[in-house]
Amino acid sequence: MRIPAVIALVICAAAGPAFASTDVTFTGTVSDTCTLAVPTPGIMALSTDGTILGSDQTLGVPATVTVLSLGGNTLTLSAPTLTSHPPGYAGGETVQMKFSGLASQPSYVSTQQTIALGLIPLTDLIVNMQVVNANGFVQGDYTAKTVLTCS
Amino acid sequence: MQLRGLIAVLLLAPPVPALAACNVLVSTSGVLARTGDATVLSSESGVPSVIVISGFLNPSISISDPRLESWPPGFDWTSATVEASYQAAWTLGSSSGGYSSGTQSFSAGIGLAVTVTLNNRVTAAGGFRQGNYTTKTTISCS
Repeated sequence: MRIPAVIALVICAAAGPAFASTDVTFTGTVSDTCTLAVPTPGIMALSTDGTILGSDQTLGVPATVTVLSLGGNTLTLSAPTLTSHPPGYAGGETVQMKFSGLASQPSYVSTQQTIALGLIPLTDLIVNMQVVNANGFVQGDYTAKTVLTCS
Repeated sequence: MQLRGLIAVLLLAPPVPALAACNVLVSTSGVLARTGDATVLSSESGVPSVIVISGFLNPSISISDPRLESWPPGFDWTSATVEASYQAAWTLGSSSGGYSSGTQSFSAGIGLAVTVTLNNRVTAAGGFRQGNYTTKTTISCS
């Protein structure tokens, strides 16, 4: 009787611990963390010396862009361009922009600008645009634009 | 002599697996979703994971620290905190643990199976970049 007991004891002692495990995965997709709206397009007016068509001239109106960001996004303003002009306009202009509000670029620039965004509620970005031409402008409508991209 | 030989063989033999005291029968993946707070991505707003573990004799169940496995480029993962919480139930009892970024464990009572509902959440003070996020937690029992 003692022999089976000894053997059973040895078997139990030799048995390894039972163990089981599994990895549990959670996945999530975040989208639409940035929203842009342009409630107020800008209006450019001619300067008194006739060489600047700008939204910060008398009777001009800056554009207002409303930005909402729910995460770490980047707002990009493309280099401003003149997209339309009246027939007979000879060109040779410089298109510039500056902005304030959400972020500040106090002096006029002609190059692409980027703004790092975090968590921000609905906030205005006020954009001024100007077209400078030492030769002046012919009569007609001019349109300048910068493209805002949030990503 | 024969008995001594048999015992010697048994002692020298490698340990053999015992009848499994526990086993992971089922585990479902969870889904993280944005909450009303833009700094939190949580399966409480999405879908929790459900794990069913068989266990007859007080299995010890361990829930590892949750890890952020993947995130979109540009996301500052070092500023993110990943936490897990659980609720477990078996025939004659239950256990629960609040959100923690560390390992949690509990011993279930005698029963046929333990059902664990697991939640993960990621908190990032700076919010989340657009893209896909994955967290992983390891559940083990013994």
